[in-house]
Amino acid sequence: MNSVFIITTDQEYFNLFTINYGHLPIHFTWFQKLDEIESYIELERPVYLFLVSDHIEELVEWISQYRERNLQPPFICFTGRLDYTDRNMLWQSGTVDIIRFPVHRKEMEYILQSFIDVHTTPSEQDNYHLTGRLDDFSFLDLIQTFEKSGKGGLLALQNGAQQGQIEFLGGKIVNARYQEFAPMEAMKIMSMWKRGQFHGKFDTEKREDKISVDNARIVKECLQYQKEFKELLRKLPDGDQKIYTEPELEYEEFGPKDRKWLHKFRKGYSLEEFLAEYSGDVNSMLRKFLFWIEQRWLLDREAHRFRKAQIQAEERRSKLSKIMSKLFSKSSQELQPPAIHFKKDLSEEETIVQEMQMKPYLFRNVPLLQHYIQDLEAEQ
Amino acid sequence: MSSKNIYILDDTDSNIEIFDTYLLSDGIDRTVFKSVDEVLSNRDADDHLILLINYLTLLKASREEVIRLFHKLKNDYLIVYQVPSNANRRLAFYDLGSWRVFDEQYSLEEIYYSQRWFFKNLMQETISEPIYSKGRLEDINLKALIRLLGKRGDSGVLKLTNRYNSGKIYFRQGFIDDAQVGPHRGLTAVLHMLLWTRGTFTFTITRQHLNQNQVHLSNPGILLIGKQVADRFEQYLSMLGDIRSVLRIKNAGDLKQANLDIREDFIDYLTRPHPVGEILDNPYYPDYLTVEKLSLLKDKDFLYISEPIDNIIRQKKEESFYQNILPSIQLNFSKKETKQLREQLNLDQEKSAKIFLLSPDEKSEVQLIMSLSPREANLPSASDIEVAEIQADDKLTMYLIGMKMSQVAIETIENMSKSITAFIFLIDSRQTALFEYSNYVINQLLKLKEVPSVVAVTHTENDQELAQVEDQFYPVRTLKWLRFKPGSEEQIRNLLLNIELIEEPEPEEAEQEEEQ
Repeated sequence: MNSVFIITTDQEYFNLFTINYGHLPIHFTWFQKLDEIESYIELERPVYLFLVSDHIEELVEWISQYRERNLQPPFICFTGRLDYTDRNMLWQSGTVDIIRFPVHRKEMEYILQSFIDVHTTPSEQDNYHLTGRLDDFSFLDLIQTFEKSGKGGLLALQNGAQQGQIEFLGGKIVNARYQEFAPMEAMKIMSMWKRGQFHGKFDTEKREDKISVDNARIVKECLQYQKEFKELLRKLPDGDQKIYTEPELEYEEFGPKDRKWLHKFRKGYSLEEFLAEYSGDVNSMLRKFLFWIEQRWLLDREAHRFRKAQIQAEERRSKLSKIMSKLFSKSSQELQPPAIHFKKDLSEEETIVQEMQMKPYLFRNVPLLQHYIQDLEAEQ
Repeated sequence: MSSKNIYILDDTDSNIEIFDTYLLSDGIDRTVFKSVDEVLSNRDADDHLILLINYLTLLKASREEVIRLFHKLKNDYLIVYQVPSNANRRLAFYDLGSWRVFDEQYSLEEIYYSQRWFFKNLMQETISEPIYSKGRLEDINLKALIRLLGKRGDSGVLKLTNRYNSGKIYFRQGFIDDAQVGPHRGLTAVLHMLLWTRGTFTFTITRQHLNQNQVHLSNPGILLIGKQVADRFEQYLSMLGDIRSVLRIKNAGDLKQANLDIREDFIDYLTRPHPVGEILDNPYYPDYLTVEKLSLLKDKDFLYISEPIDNIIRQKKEESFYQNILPSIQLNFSKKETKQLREQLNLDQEKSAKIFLLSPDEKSEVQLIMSLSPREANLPSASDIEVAEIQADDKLTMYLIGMKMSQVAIETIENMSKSITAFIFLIDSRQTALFEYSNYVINQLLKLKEVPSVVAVTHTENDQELAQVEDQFYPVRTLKWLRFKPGSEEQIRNLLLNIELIEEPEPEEAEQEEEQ
């Protein structure tokens, strides 16, 4: 959908566009002055500015303001019959086109259509009923949309290179496909995708119900999965913190899949890197990492360095001194590497404050409220 | 041919020299063709090309070649210049698929200036990454969208569009900060758009937001008021009858004396016929107030309501039941002919067909319809539409609906009914001055509805005269042309049997691809 800003002092001109060409895929917005539009340009990125005036002086004034403000969208002049000198001046000032009124209604439609053809990308002509970014509509928003429509259809989700699909029948989720995962697992994994694209299509195809539970239950499980993910992240080291495997870990004691991940941690590997790379059941992996940390098979940088130094020191000593040192050590705890830094849980109060800060539109001016209460009491 | 090049079809060297001056200074390559045939034999690539076409060079090719050129290059950017200064002639080229048309008043220099920016943009690679989310209001209505986006607490712009209008709502951290639709802003604009049931939306979250504070209500508050407004709107709308009806003001002189609380510009707007759906999106009142004003006009008898075509036929039939004035004729086609009729008109088991009869001059179509009347009766002209009934056999009734070719007819046909069976275009060969306009209307209608059609040319002595008339038309698709002499049943029968949808030949590119 293309946005066009119409700059004209005469509302009738703006009405001409909305009455006659409201059916075209163009959003017309009316501005009386050019100096009003800067913030709107940033927000809406119009494809053109239409400068509409019968007076060449007004057009020239607007164009000079356009230049001063270094506005980006191309502009098109709509005006009456001008002589060649005036038209040439407009061409030299950079106008994309000059449309000379009067123009046949239908011809103007063709001209406007030619303007927007340049901006119509193939993706806008596709057959999907619902397309976009997961930044704009979340996974749960989309499920809710299909459910409320009561229709059948397909919802394809894409998160980087990962692609999944959810099938609906009469608004109910009947199947989900993602890699080799079972439908419910696939739903949980896809519910974690916060970025990426979606394509939805409503249809009347018959589909087999492969998820026996209702939508509410599925959504609840997805939410629980997301909650568990947050809890696990809270217990695990910070995302950007590098984690290392215990230097003397016996890799052979682990299965091939676990071994693969433990090898990644050998030279330091962060959770952020893991989350960017991993495309499966993330919570089961995070639970595993937490267990490995508890077992001290995974260490933070400090603990890892300590263990390495310890091992090197041990290697330098003779076997005997090793035994002696073990026997006569002050305390076994002192030789333990420092504990891995776990994040502490936020108190309820701290959570509320944090949430308040994220929602600046909430009224939280306590002194003003107290003042208001005092005034009310005084009046009584 | 490649898309990184400009192509020019022009056999005048001086024109090419002028274009070259500008193209070279902008670093754009060009290829010149001297004839239509040369373009046709060289068009082989799939990508969209930009072709500048001199009208005077086109004239040197045959009519068939010109139509073939436009048919073959229908997906390309065709810019026709040096067309005679006549709006209908320009529109004929637009209808054929031109991207832009310039008449002889435009110098080549200005044509180049006017296209330079587009050349550069069209020759760039397009980015197909979506930058926003979009959907249909039929699937998620605005109420649901407001709830959804409000819950998210994001800032962004929600753009909405329906068949006749477009608008937008600005969200600030989940709350509606401002809205605009046509000239309406703030809460008025939101309430207006809440009544849209069909259309599309796009939404994108933005980092920054405006602080216009045009809407002072919370989202639930807006939805609550929206519900009240919607209830009232439905009440008034039901009083206006069918949403497909076309309305216009009547007794405008008396209306000015009546001192009704209605804006003058809204009344001026209603002097032209518009369907109810379109009037709801007029630029003077929001939709929920528009229905109130229309009901007031209807109550005071200032509104002419033209019902959808199905309703008109029903009404005319009811009138004729009492007055016996609906022109009708029993043609009694043979079984073979009825079968042919059904096949050509794409009628499966239907019991009735609606055939539109259009002529450019004053009431030719009415005369034809009147000629079907068994008795001399003056048809009460309650509308601009005349209807005649033709009984093909006991299972098929055809309604011949006569209208004058006009912009109003195009709009009426566009809005009135989806169930159009066919078109008959009635052209008087003597009225050459009306050819350009007729060509425009025929093309507009053929683009609206791809239904079986026939062009009946009156006052021609022989096939050569018919061909001469045909040569002056540039229809967007192949049509059957027929000599026609009104006044006899046999001619009507022949006319009806000649209505057909002529299959367009497959584009040659497809054949070539298959060969490859």
